[in-house]
Amino acid sequence: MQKIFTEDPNHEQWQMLSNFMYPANVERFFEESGTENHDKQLLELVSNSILQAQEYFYAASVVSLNISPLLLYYGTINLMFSASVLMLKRNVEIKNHGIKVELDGNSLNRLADIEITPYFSTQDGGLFQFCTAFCPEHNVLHYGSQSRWTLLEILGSIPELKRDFEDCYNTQSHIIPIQVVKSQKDYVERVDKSEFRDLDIISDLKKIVNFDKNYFNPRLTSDYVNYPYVILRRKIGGEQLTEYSVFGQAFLQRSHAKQSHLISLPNIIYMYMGLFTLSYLSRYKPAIWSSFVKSDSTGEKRVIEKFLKICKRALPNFILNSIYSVNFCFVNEIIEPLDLSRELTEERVRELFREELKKFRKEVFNDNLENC
Amino acid sequence: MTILRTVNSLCKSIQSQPFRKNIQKVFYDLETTGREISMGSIASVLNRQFLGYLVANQEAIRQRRTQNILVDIGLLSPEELALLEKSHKFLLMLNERLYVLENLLPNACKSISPYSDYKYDCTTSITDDFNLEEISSSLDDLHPHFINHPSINVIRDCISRLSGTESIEEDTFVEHVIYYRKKVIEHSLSNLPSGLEVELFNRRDPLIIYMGKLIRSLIVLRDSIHNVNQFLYQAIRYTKPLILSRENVFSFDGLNHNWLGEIFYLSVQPVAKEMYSRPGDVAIVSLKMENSIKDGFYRIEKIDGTDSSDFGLSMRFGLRSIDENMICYPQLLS
Repeated sequence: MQKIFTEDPNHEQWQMLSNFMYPANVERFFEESGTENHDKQLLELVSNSILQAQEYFYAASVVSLNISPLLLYYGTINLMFSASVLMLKRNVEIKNHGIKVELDGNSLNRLADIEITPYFSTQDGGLFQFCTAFCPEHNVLHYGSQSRWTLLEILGSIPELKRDFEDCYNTQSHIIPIQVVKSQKDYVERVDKSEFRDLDIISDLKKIVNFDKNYFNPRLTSDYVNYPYVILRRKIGGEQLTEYSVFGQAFLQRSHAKQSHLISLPNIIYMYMGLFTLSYLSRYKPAIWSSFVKSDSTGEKRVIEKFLKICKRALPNFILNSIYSVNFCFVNEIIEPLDLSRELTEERVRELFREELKKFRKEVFNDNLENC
Repeated sequence: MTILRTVNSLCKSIQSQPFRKNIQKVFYDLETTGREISMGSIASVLNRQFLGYLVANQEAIRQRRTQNILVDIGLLSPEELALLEKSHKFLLMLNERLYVLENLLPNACKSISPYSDYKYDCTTSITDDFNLEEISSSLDDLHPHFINHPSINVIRDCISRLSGTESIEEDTFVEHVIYYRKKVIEHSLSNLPSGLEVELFNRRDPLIIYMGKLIRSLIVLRDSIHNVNQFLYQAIRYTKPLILSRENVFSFDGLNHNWLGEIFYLSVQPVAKEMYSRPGDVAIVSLKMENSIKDGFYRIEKIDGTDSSDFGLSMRFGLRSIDENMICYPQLLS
């Protein structure tokens, strides 16, 4: 994780992305990553996409909820497209969204019940291409096609939305917040027991893709009354399944069962799917969307607004992380000098011990030896 | 076939022996007495397999008789005592086939018996439930391996160089081997003390050089037999061997070099069997990690356990490799 000091993370991340608004910088990026791509048209395409993305994001922040999802989705496509080109180091052909909203005509009690279906048959859809770039190792490319997803599943997979999601829908989110505990010799991840409600902890954790392969069976702390935690230890050589939100919160993700397979996707893909759904409603189903914006009585609007706010903040951050393969964390902490005065180093412990020993010898043996 | 492989197949034959279930029941009962200090913990310190329990029981009887009970570890019931005595006799009988010094140091044979430092008279005899025929062929395979044990050549060389001197009094030799073996084990995890270095690794006086070498070789031979006993004991006592694998190991904590070789450290999240392991037990490492620790048989030299509210329960095992000749301290032969 690389901390970047800023008083305005949103401004700072766009400042970093603006580097790619210049074709010469895009070309240099390709050269530095070992690919010489001098296709001027592609360089222009990448830089213009990022430029447009910034404007769409800005526009989305000054308009009302009526059209902000649509603008944000357009900005997201532009961002994800240019990042895909930079990551794959080749042009990416996108001819459609690669996903469709399924509205069967029945009246909707809540937006969360809207279903969407990815389709990968033509392989030139946005979702397929973005999955290829951002999560090639995930099996969504094999099993995700033609499986239906609800907006509820998507919103429940956004870590920053967890509390609002659970308050609004009274159902468990797919996010399990993790506390990482480290010492010089040990490292564990632990979960507050209340996270599992009445669920069987082991079977719940087995919903995490590859959990069994990489982690031991969970254990409760011995002092369970005062420390109600479930301890998770990784097997030797085990892969770290913990992910981090843009705010640095570690979490594990309960997977989604699709066509008898467990699927977990990166946050950025869930955001893409969620934004597509909302932008579709805003663009093509104004009756549903306007009515929701004007007169939502369920409190769902609060979750949707928060989702859009998180997307605005997190998507450019994820794009930077993916391009540079670094987890950037924008923080507003004052940069202080490295203060070791309170840190008890091994050397300092020895020094203290020597001083005490000297005092003791002087008191007991009246011994003034300097070298003890 | 090496000694290790032969013993391993002997262990497999033992695992089909009917008496194992009765013995395992005895151990289960002894582990679940609820006493703060169990007979098992005393036996573990003695590290002499079944004999450890018998000696601990003998001492408990003596303390009761003298009404000077330091710690109440309970007593073995007559049935338990008989089963443990039979099992010990079984190992003794197998061991006798491995005392291969008759032609070299006939009176010092005792010095390589891992049980020679504890006096215990077994009154129970082995009965039909110990099916010895079935395992005798594996045992026949083992004997020639011990005749060709790497320590035997060194012993033979030392004896020829020392012949004609009055240095070899075989009876006192037994005491020397027992004494120095204790010292070696005492310092097996630390540095070699200078006094012991002078006595065992003297490089100046030719007589003492070969005496030291002879004692070291006998310690190695004795230790190999001890390891055979431990393998067999565990094959009788436990349903399955302790395996340290990706199913319980969470970190490789490096290795320490000292005068006796390398000790590897592995940290483990105990599942069940690990909790009952004691220093001296044999464990199988199966991690498939080519660059750090080789898979194979290891002797547990050290166990540390921690149970903190932050990190939960974990154990750290210090392990020393057992080679194909069942040797843990090959440096003693150099």
